[in-house]
Amino acid sequence: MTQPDHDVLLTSYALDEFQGEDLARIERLLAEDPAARQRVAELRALAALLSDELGAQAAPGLDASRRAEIERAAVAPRGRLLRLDARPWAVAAAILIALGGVIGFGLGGRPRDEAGRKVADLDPADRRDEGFRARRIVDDARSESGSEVRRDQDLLATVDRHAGEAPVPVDHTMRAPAAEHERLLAEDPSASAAQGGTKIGIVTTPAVQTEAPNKVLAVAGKAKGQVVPGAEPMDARAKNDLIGLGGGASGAFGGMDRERSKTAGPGSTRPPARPGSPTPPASPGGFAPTGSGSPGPGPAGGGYVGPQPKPSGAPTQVGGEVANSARSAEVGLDPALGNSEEGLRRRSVDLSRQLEDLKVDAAKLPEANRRRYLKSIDDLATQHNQELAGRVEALDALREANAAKEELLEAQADPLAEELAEVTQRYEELLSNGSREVEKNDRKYRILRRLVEDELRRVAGESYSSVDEQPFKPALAEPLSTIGLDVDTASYANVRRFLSGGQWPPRDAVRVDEMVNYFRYADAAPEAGENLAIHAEVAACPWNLNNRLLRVAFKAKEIDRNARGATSLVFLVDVSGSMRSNDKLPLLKEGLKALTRQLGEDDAVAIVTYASGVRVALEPTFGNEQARILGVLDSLEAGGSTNGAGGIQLAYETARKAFVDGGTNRVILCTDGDFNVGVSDTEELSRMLEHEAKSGIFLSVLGFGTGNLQDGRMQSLANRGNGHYAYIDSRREAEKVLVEELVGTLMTVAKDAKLQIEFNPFEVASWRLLGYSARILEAQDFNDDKKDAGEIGAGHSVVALYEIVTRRAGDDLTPKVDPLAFQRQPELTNLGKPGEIAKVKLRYKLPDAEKSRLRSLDVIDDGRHYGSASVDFKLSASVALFGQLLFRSPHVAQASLEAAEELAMESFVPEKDPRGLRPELVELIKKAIAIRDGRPQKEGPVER
Amino acid sequence: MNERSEPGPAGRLVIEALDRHEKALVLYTTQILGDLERARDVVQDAFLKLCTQDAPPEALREWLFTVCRNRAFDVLRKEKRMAFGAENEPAIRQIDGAAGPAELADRRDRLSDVLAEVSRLPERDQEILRLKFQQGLSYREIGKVTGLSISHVGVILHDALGSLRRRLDGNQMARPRLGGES
Repeated sequence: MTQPDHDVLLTSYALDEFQGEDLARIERLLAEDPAARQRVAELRALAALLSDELGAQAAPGLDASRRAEIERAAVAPRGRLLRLDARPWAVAAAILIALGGVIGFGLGGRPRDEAGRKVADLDPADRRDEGFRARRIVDDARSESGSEVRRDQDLLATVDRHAGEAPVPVDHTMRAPAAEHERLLAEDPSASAAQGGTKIGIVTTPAVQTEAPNKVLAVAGKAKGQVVPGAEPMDARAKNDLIGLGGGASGAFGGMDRERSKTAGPGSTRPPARPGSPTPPASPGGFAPTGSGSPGPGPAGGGYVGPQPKPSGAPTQVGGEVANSARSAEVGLDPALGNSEEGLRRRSVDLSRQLEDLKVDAAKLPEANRRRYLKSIDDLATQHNQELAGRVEALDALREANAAKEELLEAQADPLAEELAEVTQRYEELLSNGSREVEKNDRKYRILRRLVEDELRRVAGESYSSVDEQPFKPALAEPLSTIGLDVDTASYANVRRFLSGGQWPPRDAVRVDEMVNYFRYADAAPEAGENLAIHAEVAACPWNLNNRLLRVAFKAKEIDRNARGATSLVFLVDVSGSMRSNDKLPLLKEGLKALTRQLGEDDAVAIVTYASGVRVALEPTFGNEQARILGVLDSLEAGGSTNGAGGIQLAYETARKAFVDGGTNRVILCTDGDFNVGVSDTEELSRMLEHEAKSGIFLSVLGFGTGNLQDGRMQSLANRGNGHYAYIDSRREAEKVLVEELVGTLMTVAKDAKLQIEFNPFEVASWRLLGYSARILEAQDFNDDKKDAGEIGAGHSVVALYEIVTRRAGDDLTPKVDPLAFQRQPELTNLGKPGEIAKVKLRYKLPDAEKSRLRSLDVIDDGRHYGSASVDFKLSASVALFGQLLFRSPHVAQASLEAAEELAMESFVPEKDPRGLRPELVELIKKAIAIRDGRPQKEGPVER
Repeated sequence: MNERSEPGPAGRLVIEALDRHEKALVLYTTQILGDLERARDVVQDAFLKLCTQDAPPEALREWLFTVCRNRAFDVLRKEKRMAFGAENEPAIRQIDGAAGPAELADRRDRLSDVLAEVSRLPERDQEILRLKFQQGLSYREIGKVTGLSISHVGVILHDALGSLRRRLDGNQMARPRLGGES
């Protein structure tokens, strides 16, 4: 038997699909295979049966009303195809018809233009194309240039074929007067010129009616111009040409009108000949030769040549028409594109804004959940922005290309029109892709939104830490302020990053206490036997001169770096993929190398990394093996996901192995915030950190990169582990933190340091604490040595600022309520010295002590003006003012950034500021002013 | 411009195509949709779309069949979607009603054996048989209309004819030896 594919071929043959050589080949094969012939016969029988049966099925076709609508559409100028009737396409048709043949544009028509086919089905296919095609046809008809020759020949063949195949019936009733006319022409050449003129007039009639075929007029007019002036010596061929042009056209009209259903080609817009119309005389002139298909100087050939001779009027007009149509298309097209593109951008911006809002809401969630949502929101925003940016870029590029091509198109060539159509199409595709993308992200946004809202509802009632400012408190009712002292400084570096990037820092990123503590102050070191010194200074409050500002500073004793005890450090390094950017792992490696070079022989370093997995990259190694440590640091590479949970355990295990009795033992977590710990793990982690801190291993957290989402979380982690949190955004900051300060933090000189201030209500009406919102303790916690508080490293300063509303003469201190019925109110007695506004109390433990020591200082306001305050006071005040202005505190509503700048300038004391932090402060304030005023920003980090 | 009650050349093209293909298209589309009225809508749409083309499609018949087919399947998809989306009882019934088993059986009784057998073929095969034998389209044209390759069309027709022959074998057409087909 034959093979299956052979069978398929056989079926094809039976169904007459083969032609030419293939047909011959298969017939040769069949000749040798009677079985196959039998099969073909069967198949043909079946095919015939099917054709009969299926062919007998009939449908009623369209109903009258639907059909009528199509017919209406077919004459309405709205349809694009139909507009062609009044436009260049029809012009071209008219010209070709005029050239002596009915061109089969429609049914069974041959492909004329591949590009035309490609775009024919596209809805947005722009109108330009039509002008372009029309022009091509016209060009085809007259072009002599090489690239157009093939097309010309095709066209000629088409013309000839149709001229031969589709003779338009000629009305005999019209022939009689035509013959009469011919006779007249033969007798009188000048009459022929006159007739020619008349006839041209007829041709132009439809042109005028249908507005566009001006070119018919132009072409005909050209012919007229040739003929009329030289009417006398006109030769026969010229006559024929002339007649052919006009007569062919009219003849075609006439034929169509009568035989609509049989005519293969399109007719013209011209209505049927009206009585009294002078059409008839022209008709036969065009048709007699065409019908007979005679070659030579007959109308078919001559007519074709007709428009060819360098026509001055016609081509210009044709070109002008194309340019015009291109221009009008452009006008019609561009606003539409612009609008939708604009819409796309707008929606994208909306979405980004919504995501920001969502972020704000998500920030209210409890920490464990917040992280998850913020991460998804951030991911979505990033993804969205990237996708959009890519698309918008591509759109811009395409639009430019589009515009450029359109310009060129006006100036010249056809191929560009094709390309333009493609570019336009790609542009629109991109645009719709972009819209889809926005929609997709829109959906994701809505889902996230719902999740966050659900979550918010779920946790409603649960409390979450607020970073809000502390209000003024009445000194009489609330005389005590109790806080844990800490030297976190991350907020300043964070604020610097935002401002340097030309961005106003988000409210949550601004923590006044951390900004103030970023700076080094010249407060005196403690006396011998003490590890902390207390200083207090009161002067006029610079942002409200009616009020006083109290600056309380604690200065830890300096320890000679060489005299400190042995150190064991375990770096817990996040090497997940997100750490790859230059401001993260590479920066950390730099800093750690600098630190390594500072290590003594007794100091041990270990490195634990976490990404998808957790591993000890460097077992505890002493400082004399520098090369080995540096080698391991060099080999750290970022990649993989984040799994921080196991890392911290391993880091602590490692730290226990390398524990130095009587020395400093510390785990240093270095991350960009991707620290994955589940909800339940968080509490466990906190307990572990606290437990480890008690056993002498402290935790420091170093934040990297631009994701500050985990800021609060890292801070709280560090606090749990008796540690320090710093944000590192530059190489110099890395050195400051890792080399200069970590050494300080490393050598903790005071732990669980707490401050309690009691305000004297006879001097102080009300007070407010600036910053430290996260560190406020209950008053009774102050004396509770079990209550954890802040650690202070060697050489550090901690500053707390209070704004004070002083008691005015005549203030009534008696309660505004009725005397209580069941208890006697204590008598109000001023036990303070004159001007004594507050008592500062400090508790701290020595690093290895379990019991705290209490120190105190009486604060007497000597009525100092701001101008006579110390430089340190002024520096603290200016930074505090700056910070409050950044989060738009109502308490500094009367002050301005300019004032803060001025205050900061006053704190310029070069000898007290070796690292140039104060000029940088002024620069930052200037940047904030520029952002506030909407002035353009210089990119890049602040030079320090 | 002045009112134009007479179509221009392009308008004539449309009307002529309407005269020539209307019935075939309605038949074809009805067979896809199983509903004359909706088929008429689709065919009307196709002609209205023709009016909005930039240039006459080069292969008009093929073009018309393609447009009708695509629209018809759009209609089917849309109805299916709506039926799922809104759980709209009437919509479901309408679809089922288009070719419910009972109605199909009933319809089959009225048809000849050949047509009955044809209507048992997979829908795609039926469609291609119809395009071939009812509409007289070539393999190439069928390929264009249905989006299949020419060789694929060939295989489908071959297989469809093969199974028709086998089935008809037991019926009124006593055919000699028809085995060995794949």
